[in-house]
Parts: sequence; C-alpha cells; structure tokens
Amino acid sequence: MNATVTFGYTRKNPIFSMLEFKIPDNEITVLCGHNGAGKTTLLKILSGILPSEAALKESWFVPAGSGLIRHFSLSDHIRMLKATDTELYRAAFELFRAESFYNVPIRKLSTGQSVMASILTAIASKREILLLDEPYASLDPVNAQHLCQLLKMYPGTVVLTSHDLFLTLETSAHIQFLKSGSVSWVNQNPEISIEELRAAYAEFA
Amino acid sequence: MSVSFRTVFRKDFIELTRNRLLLLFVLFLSGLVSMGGVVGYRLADTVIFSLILIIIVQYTFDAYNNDIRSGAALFLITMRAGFYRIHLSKILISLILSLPLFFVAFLHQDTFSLVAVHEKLILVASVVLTVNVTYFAIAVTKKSDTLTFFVGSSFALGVFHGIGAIQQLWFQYGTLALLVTMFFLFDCFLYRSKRFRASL
Repeated sequence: MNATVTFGYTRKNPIFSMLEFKIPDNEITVLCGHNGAGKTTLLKILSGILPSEAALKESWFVPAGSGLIRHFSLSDHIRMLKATDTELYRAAFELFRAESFYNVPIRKLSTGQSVMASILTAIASKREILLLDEPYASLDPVNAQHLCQLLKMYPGTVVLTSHDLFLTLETSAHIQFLKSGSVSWVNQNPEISIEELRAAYAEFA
Repeated sequence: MSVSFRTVFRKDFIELTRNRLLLLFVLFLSGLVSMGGVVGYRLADTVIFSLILIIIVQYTFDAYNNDIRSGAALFLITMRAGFYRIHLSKILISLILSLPLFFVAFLHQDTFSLVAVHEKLILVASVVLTVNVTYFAIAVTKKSDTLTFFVGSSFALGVFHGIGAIQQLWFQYGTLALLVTMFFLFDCFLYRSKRFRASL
C-alpha cells in the first residue's frame, strides 16, 4: 500500500512534504522515531482524523490512551459496532482477560485496561487496516506480549508506533524510522538483531 | 459501518445525567424563576429566555469539551458518525434542557408569553442557533472555557434582543433561519478543518 503524504498545519511549514509512505499489505509495520518526529500525526493523517487525501478508507485508529466513550463499557462499544464474534476477537478477549471489565464503564478502568478495551474494539471492527499509536506504552509486559501475539494473527494490515525497540523487533521486521517529516530508514531484514536496530536508531532516528 | 443517531443520543443523554452541576443549575434557576421575584416582573420573558440560552451555551460547551478530552470525538470520527448526527443529538438534549424553564413559563401563563406558538418557534430556533454558535466558538477559541462562554452567550443574547426588535414576523423567522443555516455550514466546515481536528 502506497500513500503520498503532504500535510502541514500552515502552508508555510509543512510537516510532511510529498512523503512516499509504503506499507506492505497484510503485514505489520512499526514506526519508530523520537518524540515529535511526526509518527502520531502520520497515523492521524492515514486514519482520516486529520483531513488529507492520503486517508485510508478502511482503517481504524487506536489513539494512545483509549479513545473510547467514557460512560460506555466495552460491551456497549462492541454492540455499537454490531460486531459478530471472530476467532481473533475471542482469542484477544481471553488473552486480555476481558471478562473482568467487559461490562464496566471505560472511565472506571485503569489506563492499561482501557487500552485493551480499545484494541478489542478495533479488532471487532474488522477494518482492513489497524493504526495503533503506541499501544505497548500502557500495557504490562505480559499483556504487551499478548498484544504482539494478537497483531501477528490480524488478517489485515497493521501500522503501529513504538518507542520500545525490543517489542518492535518482536512484532515485525518491517520497521521504518521517521525523522523530520521523512522516512529516514527502512528495514525488511527478518534477521536484524537488537544491536543492529539500536545502532540504526542512534544513526537515523 | 456507521454509528446510529440513537447511539450518539444515548451517549449524550448518559453524559448529561452525569453532569449533575448543570442539572442542579437548571433546577435551581427553574425554582428561582418560579418562586422568586421574576414572576410578575415586567421583563419576565426576557429573563427566562436569556437563562435558557445561557444554560444551552454551558451545556454545549461541556458536551463538546467532554467529547474532545475523553477521546469520544476520535471514536465517533473513526466510526464515521458524521457531524450532523453528533450535532443534532446536542440540539435535542439542549431542547430537553430548556423544558424545565419552559414548564415554569407554562405554569405562569399570565406572566409569560413564551407559551404562544410564535414564541415557541422563536425559542426552538434560538436554541438551535445557540448550539451552532457555541460549537463555532469552541472550534475558533480552541476550547477556552471563558472565551467560549463569553462569545456563545453574548452572541445568542445579542441575536435574541435583535430579533425582538424586528417588527415583522416573517422577517424574524427569516433572519433566524438564515443565521441557523449559516452557522451550521460554518460548523460543518470547522468540524473538518485541520484547526479543529488537530485539537482532538
């Protein structure tokens, strides 16, 4: 999937100018980069939150935090989607032990639980493309591993941002670094080691 | 897949029931107007109308600000809820919120002319206009609480007094219809603007 992204809040200062963003179909791509590199902005552009011609129609955006309706529970959100059970959803439900917070309003959940609720809602949406903004940030190591496992099972395309190089490597070999509004480094080598990734991060991110 | 109006309305209604301070304020004002010195006062209609508009400005600000802060606004965009559904829900809740004060006017028909068909139509149009203007103020003032309240309420009250000064009935309706449409179109534009979307 290719997208040419040109975006700026003002015409004089574009954040992305003709950024050629390529993501492999039905694979996971991890975006890395320093704070302020434009990772979240890029996801918001692709999801159509920020108005742009590069928006991908069949995408679902999971923001950092939760991005769900505070007074609704996970069950309310799932009902809203009129979603039918899928194998992946059931697996996610079990791995995240969602039974314990399924009927609890989002405002009463911990940050990690609301992120898990948000991810479950995204999976239930069955959109072709999932865009996740730092999904690992609020999860404990066990649930972060579960998420990694679930993303690998997702039948569509996944793009996520992460600051955790270990989890990045574990999630996918398709890694891209963003720097000053452009893709500064791309990896597709499945054999890359954490040391090599760290070295690339130090040089290109 | 798109979220239904019923769901958006249900969400807004639940949030309204959680906004206890605003509900208490509405009940307090209704009680005050009903029992206090306003009944029988020469400007009773003006007072009750102004109070309704002030309540609507506060509600609209609370509701939209809550959507933005909680992430619900992002969810509704992702769900392709559409601005008209989100906005219509706020308008309906605003009309519900104006009911207690309207009920007071109904109980004291000798004092208030608000129960007349013409006044009712003006009230409904003014409520819609106030919601439109308040959303406009939220998007333009970047959610500044005081500024939004000031812009929303001063504009709504200004229009209300301006409309009252117009003699011809058809001209009153026409002006209100024009302002409602104009601000709705502004709001639709702002909803899709980078300025607003960047604040989500």
